[in-house]
Amino acid sequence: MSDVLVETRSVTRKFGGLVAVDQVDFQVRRGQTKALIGPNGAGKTTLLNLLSGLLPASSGDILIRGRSVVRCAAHEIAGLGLARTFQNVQLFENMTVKENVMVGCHPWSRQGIASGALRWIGHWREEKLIEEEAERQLDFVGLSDLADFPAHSLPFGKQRMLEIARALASRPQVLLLDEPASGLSTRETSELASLLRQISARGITILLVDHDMQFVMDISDEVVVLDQGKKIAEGTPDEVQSNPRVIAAYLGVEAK
Amino acid sequence: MKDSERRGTHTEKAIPVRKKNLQLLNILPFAVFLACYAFAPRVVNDAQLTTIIYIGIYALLAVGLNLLMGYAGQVSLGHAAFFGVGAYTSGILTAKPIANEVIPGVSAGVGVISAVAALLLLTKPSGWKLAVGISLLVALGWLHNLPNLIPVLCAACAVAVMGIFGLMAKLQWMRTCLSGVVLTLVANLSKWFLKGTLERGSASPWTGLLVGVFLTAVISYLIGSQVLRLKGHYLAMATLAFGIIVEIVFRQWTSVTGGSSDGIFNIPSIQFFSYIPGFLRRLYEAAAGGSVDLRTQYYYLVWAFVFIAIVLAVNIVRSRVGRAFRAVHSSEQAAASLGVDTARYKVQVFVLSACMASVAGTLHAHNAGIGYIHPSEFGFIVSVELVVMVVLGGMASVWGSLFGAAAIQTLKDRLLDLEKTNPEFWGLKLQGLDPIVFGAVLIVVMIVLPQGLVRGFSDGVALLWRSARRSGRQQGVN
Amino acid sequence: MSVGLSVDLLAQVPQLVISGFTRGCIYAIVAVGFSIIYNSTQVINFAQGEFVMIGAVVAAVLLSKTSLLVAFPTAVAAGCLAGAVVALFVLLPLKRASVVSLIIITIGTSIMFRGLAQLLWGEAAIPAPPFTGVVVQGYVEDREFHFLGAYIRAQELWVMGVTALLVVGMHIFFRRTILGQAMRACAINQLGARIVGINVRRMIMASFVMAAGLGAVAGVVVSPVFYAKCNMGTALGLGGFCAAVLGGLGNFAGGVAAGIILGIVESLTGGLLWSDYKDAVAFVILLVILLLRPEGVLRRRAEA
Ligand SMILES: Nc1ncnc2c1ncn2[C@@H]1O[C@H](COP(=O)(O)OP(=O)(O)O)[C@@H](O)[C@H]1O
Ligand SMILES: [Mg+2]
Repeated sequence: MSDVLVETRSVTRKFGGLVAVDQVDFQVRRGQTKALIGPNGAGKTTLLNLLSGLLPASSGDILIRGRSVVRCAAHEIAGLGLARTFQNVQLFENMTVKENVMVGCHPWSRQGIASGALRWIGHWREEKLIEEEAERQLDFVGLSDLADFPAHSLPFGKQRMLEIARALASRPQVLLLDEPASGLSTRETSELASLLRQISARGITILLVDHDMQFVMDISDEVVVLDQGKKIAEGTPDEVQSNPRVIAAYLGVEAK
Repeated sequence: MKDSERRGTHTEKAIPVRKKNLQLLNILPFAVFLACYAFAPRVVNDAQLTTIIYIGIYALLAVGLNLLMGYAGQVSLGHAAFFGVGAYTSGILTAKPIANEVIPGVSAGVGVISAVAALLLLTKPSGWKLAVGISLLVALGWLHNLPNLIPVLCAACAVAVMGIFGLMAKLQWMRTCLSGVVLTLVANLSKWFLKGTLERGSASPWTGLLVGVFLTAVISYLIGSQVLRLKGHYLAMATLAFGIIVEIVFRQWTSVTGGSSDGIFNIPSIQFFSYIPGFLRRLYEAAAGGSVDLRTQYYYLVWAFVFIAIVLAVNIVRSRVGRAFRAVHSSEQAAASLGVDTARYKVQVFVLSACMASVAGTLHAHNAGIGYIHPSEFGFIVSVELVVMVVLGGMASVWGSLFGAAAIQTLKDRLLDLEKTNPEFWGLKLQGLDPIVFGAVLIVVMIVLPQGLVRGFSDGVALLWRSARRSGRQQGVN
Repeated sequence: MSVGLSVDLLAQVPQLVISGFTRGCIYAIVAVGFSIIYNSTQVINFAQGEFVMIGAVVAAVLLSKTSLLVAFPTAVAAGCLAGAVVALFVLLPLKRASVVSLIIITIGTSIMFRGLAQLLWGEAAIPAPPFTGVVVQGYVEDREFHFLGAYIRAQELWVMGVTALLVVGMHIFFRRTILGQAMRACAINQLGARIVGINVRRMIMASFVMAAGLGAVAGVVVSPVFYAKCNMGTALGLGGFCAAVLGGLGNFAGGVAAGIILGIVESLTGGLLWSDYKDAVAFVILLVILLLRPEGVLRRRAEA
């Protein structure tokens, strides 16, 4: 069905002997906010890397908008409308805040090197669109007044916001967020939650990984639980929270 | 509380990149550059002019290498190889006689191939469209052979024909018109090449330039598409190995390159005054204050290329593709996740900077009054020198490269002057100091000012300025 | 005619293998040096070949004047000093230095050493008498042995013997001594090593000095075989790097085996196929290896 945006079919990734992601099946439907949780080292980041094409899968299949992408390079997957952020923020530190977001506009802009070098008409026209988009996204996450600062000078919380703005600038259909709330203060986390709700209201599908149970349960429609690379539960937040296997594997560890 | 304070000062310390007065600041260096360009030959003596010419050639190299190293973050320790490919291609084509029989065939072949390539590039036609295009091309070639048609008329005809063809074939009319212009240009070029080559019995330096760039592009594409998969130390070692292999080929392939004992000599100097329109020539003469001799001409040519290279580089850096280059430098993963085809862009910038080096090589080979090249001018040590220039001027700073090239070239001149006096130090003859000085410069710059001299200097000034202002404010309060 | 030529060529094979083996020993030692430094710092030291050059040139200069007993320790000390200098420059940058700046720093020191050697002793090759030779009319001439249709010089036996000794010594050092184990600890986990109280900077210094000392020893034994020249370092360094990559960076045994194989292959291809381009053979092999096996090399590192 075209309703399913992202789908994995028994996708597996091994690192030497370690099976980081083990035969995982799950689906993300259009418009959903889905959460991926699990204890440390469960393979959540690895799974996101597989989805975004930064790591090749050892076996299994991944479909994005119905197209198999296991053979695709990361930039091709981005072209299909998938954007992501990173657990350890990866900004372009040698650029300004605004330029970071402008790089995000890459998938839907077209001008090549000759056009840029010779400043053809197409360059100016597109550059204007890119700048407008960047300003819009910066405005959205509340960083407009820092637009011309170098990216590395931002405090950590703002760096995370910048990464989200950068991902949004690519006009994605699916947004993957790897632990967006880690390292944020309580206030910043609640701001982030409302931001994510707005993004979702725009019609963007979200798949997020996080540790903060409160935060995850708050904003997600559905939750998938990974433990030691395997999917152990899936369902609404309430269902998952009362699932004994999850409590044993995840909440139990937390409670300890 | 404490945390937020720290964060506050953090942002305050950073200097925002101002956008408002950027326009003026952007144009100012170019204006200064052009002023210096025009009037330099009036005020300098002959030796200084030579230095300035060499600065220009190395600036061209450094600007290209900076695009690769400073912006896209890919190390190359073999850049001098491309410098050499440009120099040798052009030197061999111009200094060695070409048999009369092959010239027309070659020029026709080059003309047709480049025209087809231009056509393909501009219109991306399917098979039958291409066939029509080629037959039109043949018709155009015939048109060109009508002796009393003036070029402008030809171009107009071509544009009209191609435009109509575009409309008929339902292609974008603008592109097909443009390809008409390109076709005219190509036809003219090949005719011109034919005439010039037949007259002098060997290719003109301009042909050498084009062929050199073409050859360099092919070689650098082949090498780059393989080597750029590597990262960090591996990339450095691979480019280093490539550079040394090319140098060995220059040394050992004696039948073509003359080897290390002979080199290539009697390379004609590159002419450019006879090709430019009269009013431009008069402008140059006015700037130089009299008739322009071969050497000054050469100076004007080299620095015209430097100007073009800087303009292109500055434009590229501030464009979509330039941002992608810088993104690749910072984080390939993040760049790829945002749709940047990292492999392709890396190869692109590699080929671009290699082509710039090739142009510099051609200019170097046709140095007015010398016309001699030798393998040692394109060896490992030259590659290192180029890296020093880039690092000294500042990675990711186009104007900095100019500065770096000037600094190193001046330093080299000073060392040469010093050696002429046969200096002695504790009974040791000080000969061949360059490597020691370069090594020391490299180390010191990397340890003390990894940002390069220009950036380091401007940061220092900014720091002083701010602290001065702060102390001034405090005094005001007191 | 052509048959005769090929027979002639084939007859050269044993001789080529022996000279290749000698050169391969040097590659092996340089490769071990690369691995030692890489293990403790993740730095590829571009000045590695210069250590061999320093050892060779200093030894050659001294051997013509004094005895081996003076020349050997002096040359090795000079090499160690050079290693310490490189380590100092690598450790000096206060901010965390990027890969590019570390590359540039080691290249800077490398060309500085070469320039210095050139300034002090000139560009020409410096002949050195063999360690164990017979004096013939005022010249010291090397003994030669006949072996499987080839001549093998006593000095070449020296090179092979010393290489074997060094490799075994290194193995024992890293397995059996406290310092060696501390260095291995740094290689495995720097933070952990620091917590246990190992001075990481000192370990880095030690690894550079050790790699340099090894290189210098190789230089000393080889200086009577090759001519000691101030520009001999680049080729040896890159050959050694090639061997280190081929054998797996950080893996001593692999590096040694790869070094010897590389030396022999280079000598055979240079001697039998392209004598004009024999200098280029090692570089071509290096490029090919880097291009064919980059993922192999990198993957092993990522998964380790
Ligand atoms: N590049 C890698 N090489 C080897 N092992 C890895 C690599 N990346 C992750 N792993 C291993 O895979 C497992 C899952 O890691 P990860 O996906 O980062 O977990 P999570 O994000 O859920 O905390 C961990 O045991 C980790 O050590
Ligand atoms: Mg993770």
